[in-house]
Amino acid sequence: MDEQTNQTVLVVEDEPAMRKMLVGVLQQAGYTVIEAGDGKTGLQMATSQQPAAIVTDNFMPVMNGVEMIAAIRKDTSWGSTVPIIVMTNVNDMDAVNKALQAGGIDYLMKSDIQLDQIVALVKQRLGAK
Amino acid sequence: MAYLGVITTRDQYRAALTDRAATVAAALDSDKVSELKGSASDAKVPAYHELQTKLRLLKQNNTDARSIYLAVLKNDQVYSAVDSEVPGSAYYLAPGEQLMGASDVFKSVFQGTLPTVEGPLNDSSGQWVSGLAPVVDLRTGQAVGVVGIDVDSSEYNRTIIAAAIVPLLVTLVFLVVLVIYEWNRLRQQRELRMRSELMSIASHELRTPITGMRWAAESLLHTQPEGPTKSMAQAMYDSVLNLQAGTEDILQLTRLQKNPKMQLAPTDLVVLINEICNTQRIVAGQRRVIIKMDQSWPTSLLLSCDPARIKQVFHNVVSNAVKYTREGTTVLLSYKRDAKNHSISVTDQGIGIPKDEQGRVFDGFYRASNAKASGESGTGLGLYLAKTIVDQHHGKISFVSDQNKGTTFTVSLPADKK
Repeated sequence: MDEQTNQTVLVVEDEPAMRKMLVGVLQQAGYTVIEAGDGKTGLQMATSQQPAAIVTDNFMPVMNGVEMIAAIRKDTSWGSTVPIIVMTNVNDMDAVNKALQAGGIDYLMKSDIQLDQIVALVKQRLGAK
Repeated sequence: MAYLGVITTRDQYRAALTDRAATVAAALDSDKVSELKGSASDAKVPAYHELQTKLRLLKQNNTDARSIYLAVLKNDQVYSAVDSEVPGSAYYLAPGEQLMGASDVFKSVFQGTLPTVEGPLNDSSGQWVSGLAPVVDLRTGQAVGVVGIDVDSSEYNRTIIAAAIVPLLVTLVFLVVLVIYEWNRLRQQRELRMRSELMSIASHELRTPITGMRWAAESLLHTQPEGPTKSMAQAMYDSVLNLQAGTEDILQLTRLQKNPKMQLAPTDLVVLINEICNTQRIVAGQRRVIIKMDQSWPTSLLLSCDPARIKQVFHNVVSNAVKYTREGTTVLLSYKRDAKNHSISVTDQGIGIPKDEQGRVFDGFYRASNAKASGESGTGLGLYLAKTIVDQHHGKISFVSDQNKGTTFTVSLPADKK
């Protein structure tokens, strides 16, 4: 059912329980998953390992999603094209718009979405590339 | 401002004193004054007693004066001629007594024949102010004597200080009131901001574990084989969905209650509706429901409203439509404008609202029987909250529903007055 892909996906999420679940479903889908618990670590891992896609939360300590995305997009080669999916929990369109302006290409409301839909979106973004 | 008060009042005081001296001088017969030479023998001159009586009378009209006296110029020095006081009293000047302290100002009154005020000056008896005015012989135009009214300086000081103090006090009170008002307003603003931040944090803190539970329950549900464990997982999943719906409603309600005042801002409704549609699209996609804004919409639509709350209204109405419309159908959003209002309609092709329950749709915590039966989660607060907010905006929310065709909810908001 899940295709074998050797692509790496980066999950950036500060809530450990949720991060574990996201990592789990993506691994089940066949991806190699690397994870970070805050925006700063996420940025470091992104620039050093250059994953094929990034799934990130917005509201995080140390460095939030918007700042991390902006920093990633500064890299003109890999950083400008990697698909970044932003998740948000709060009904804050202002924050979502900022994330999209910074370079996020999708946003999902965590409270409305199913886990497998997140995976489906990642697959779509990676397949479309 | 208070400084001006001091100047004006001081000037006014001095002008008044000048007038008073001039009045006294005018009341004296210049011929009689001419008879006095400024020597001790003046006391024997008949005019002396007349003038003294007059001066005493005039002193009665000048109760704040220490004394009123008449001085004459002799050999370029100023000598007392007659005064209002009794010999032996504090301010008595004997005739012929030289006024040693007479200044050039005093002397100039003899020459210039213009009344003036001198002082405050100090002497052994304290501090005083003098109003000086010449007694003029109208035939020659020369001053034959100078009238002096000496007023105790403390009276003078008291008057000008009082006059200065009043505007100063008024300004002070005004400033204090202003400061208190501003401080209060800023404190209230800060509290509101803190409260709304607290609300955001509380929302986040509640939503996070609930989302986590939902994801986990959902995963479990999908991975369980048919059997008792799967039913348990289903029960947990359903409960979590209800918990999520209830929490959202309570957060909405709390937000409304904690911040009863609306925060109006110019809002583009087209952008707002678009955002709602985008957020709902993924949920809609799960049942292949399409959300569409039809061609009736303008490219932009500005309205003064509380954007967060209006967003809540349409979120509730649209999410209802998405929830209860039949699988694979379309939720249509359309717009109409008349002279007074903007009307936004949300039409679904769903289970509708039974006729006998339609009256209670906007009641808090009311869910129609078929909604409950549908298995969809919900607490029934959504429409109650929507109506509260629409009412706050002086708008109207209404619906038409056919139980087997679908429902159309219409929100109408008054247009901005031009």
